[in-house]
Amino acid sequence: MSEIKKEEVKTETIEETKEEKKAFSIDTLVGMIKDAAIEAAKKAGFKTRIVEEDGKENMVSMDYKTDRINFTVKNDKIEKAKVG
Amino acid sequence: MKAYTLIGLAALVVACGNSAVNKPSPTSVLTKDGVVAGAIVVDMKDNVSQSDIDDLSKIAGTELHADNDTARKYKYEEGVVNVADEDAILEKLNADPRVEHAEKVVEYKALFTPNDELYKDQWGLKRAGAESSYNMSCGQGVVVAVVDTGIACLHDDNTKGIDDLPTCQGGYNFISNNSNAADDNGHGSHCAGTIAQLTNNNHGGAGLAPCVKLMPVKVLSGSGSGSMESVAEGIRFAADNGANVISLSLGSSHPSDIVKDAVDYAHDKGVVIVAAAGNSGGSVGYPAAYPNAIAVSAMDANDRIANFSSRGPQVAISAPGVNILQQTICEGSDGTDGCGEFKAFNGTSMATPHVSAAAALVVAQGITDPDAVRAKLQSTADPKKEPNLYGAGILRADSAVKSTILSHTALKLVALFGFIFLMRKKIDKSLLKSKPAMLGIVLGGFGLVPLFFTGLMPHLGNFRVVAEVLARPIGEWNIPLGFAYKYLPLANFIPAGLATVLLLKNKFGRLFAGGLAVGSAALCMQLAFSGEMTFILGSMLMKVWMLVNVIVLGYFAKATLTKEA
Repeated sequence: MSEIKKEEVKTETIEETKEEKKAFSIDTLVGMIKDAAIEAAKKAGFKTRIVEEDGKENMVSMDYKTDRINFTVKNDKIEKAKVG
Repeated sequence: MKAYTLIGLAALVVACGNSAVNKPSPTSVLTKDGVVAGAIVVDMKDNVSQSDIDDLSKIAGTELHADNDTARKYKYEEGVVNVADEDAILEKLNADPRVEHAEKVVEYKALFTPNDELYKDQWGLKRAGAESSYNMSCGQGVVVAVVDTGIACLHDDNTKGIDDLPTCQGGYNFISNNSNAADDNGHGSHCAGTIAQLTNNNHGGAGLAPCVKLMPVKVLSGSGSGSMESVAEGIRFAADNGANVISLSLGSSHPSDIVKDAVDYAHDKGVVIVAAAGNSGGSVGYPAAYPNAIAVSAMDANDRIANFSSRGPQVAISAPGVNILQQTICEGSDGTDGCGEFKAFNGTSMATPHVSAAAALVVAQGITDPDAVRAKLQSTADPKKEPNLYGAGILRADSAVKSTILSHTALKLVALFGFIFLMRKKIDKSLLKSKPAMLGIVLGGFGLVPLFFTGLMPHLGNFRVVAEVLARPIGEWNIPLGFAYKYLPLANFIPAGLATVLLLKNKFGRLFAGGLAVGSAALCMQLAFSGEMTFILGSMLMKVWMLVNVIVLGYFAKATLTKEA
């Protein structure tokens, strides 16, 4: 029998996602040192991914995950943090 | 006109298949246990009143009702009764003079449904019309490159013990710069599965184009990110190594010239590029926003656009991208244990492979030019009113394939009669009605055994490739066999030419060669007029070359289909 693992799929609005971020204090990650922010996010149960660092943008997979934070990093500090 | 009538009849058989594909019809087959317990349907006489219906409801012991306007018009009233009393109730109803027929409700099923245990939960495949498209095309001979995090492929050493993985060929890892493009994230395998998961093997899930060969091109690391350079290299690698379709479930909000150049390069080589619109909920990302990519947005099971799905005028089409169940690998693994598990993912990443698979199905039916593939997918999508969200509408793979087969058949018929008309003074038309000539026409123009709408195709297993070849005209045999699809249009006149040279002295052979020339001319005219086939020399020279073929084939026809010959 194949193992089935379904993620809980939310059809939340962007606003709801923002609420989730607020509730989780994701905004507090902005301005933190990159490694510390990644560590904090992981402790909070989020996966992390750097989508842009010092102006160099990465290509990223276009799956939408509510348990992942995409970071934009500048000078080793978090400039943006977004769930997805 | 008998001979022409036969060909027209053959085309009619193809056209009639239309009605057998999308909905239950007299040609649908019943499942063995398709009876819906306790459900009955009563076909009442057209002049019965509401009080008659109420009276018959009392006899049935249930409220009989019509579900829609058509049912109301024709007085098809349904109800649910106690299973134990069902036969007795039906007997009473059938004895009533106000009733024409009363019978049990039997669930009709499409001709082919994969037996994979999780298929029932793969709503995206059903929404895209998988059950109908399986009957017509499975992507035989087409290579789809999944430029992504890699693919867990069947028979890889590091995925032993998993028996539901797709089959792969070639590929490259641009992260480690070696040929091992195994997945270490899960995303690429999930996307690949939607395209060509091992299907109808009584296990796991299904894919939309299960005969496709997948080319794993790893450009994203285990974290799901990668550089622009890697993506550009991956696209060019796929285009140079035989991919017909490139599936890009990746993107960035920033444009990149090197990625755009790579997309244009692949497109100019005749490769269909399908890309995820993005998950920002804002404007369409890149490479999806480039003109030569087909940008795909994501919708849910209720046909609503996913709120994360990016939007804008670049969106070409929408496809299922919420709660998409497919096989992936163990999350966080390094790709070496490869434990099989199925997960529901969200994203325009998940919508993209539905479109890539549909593109492969269309390519397999002879539309190999990327712009023509895009046009076919868009013109056959379920239309929606918000183009910035849905593009041309919601993907229908079955409609795209069906439309391809029907339009090609119709165009070939017109071309056939046009060619015969043009040659009316140069050939003896009575010779065209001979059996060898008819065989040649069918083989050269239409295909010997067109099984597209019979429902038999998915049941042929390993013999399907033989059926796919025999269902195609000889000039398109290279497509299901998967080779030289850009070059072989150069050789379209050769089979008829060879037959003319080799069989001219033989009475039956000469007639067969003549028919082959006429049928091949019809095919060449269809290719010229539709302009839907990729050709090494470009689309304009394709049309010119095809018309040259028609002229040459005219000479062959003249040489073989005259009494003096």
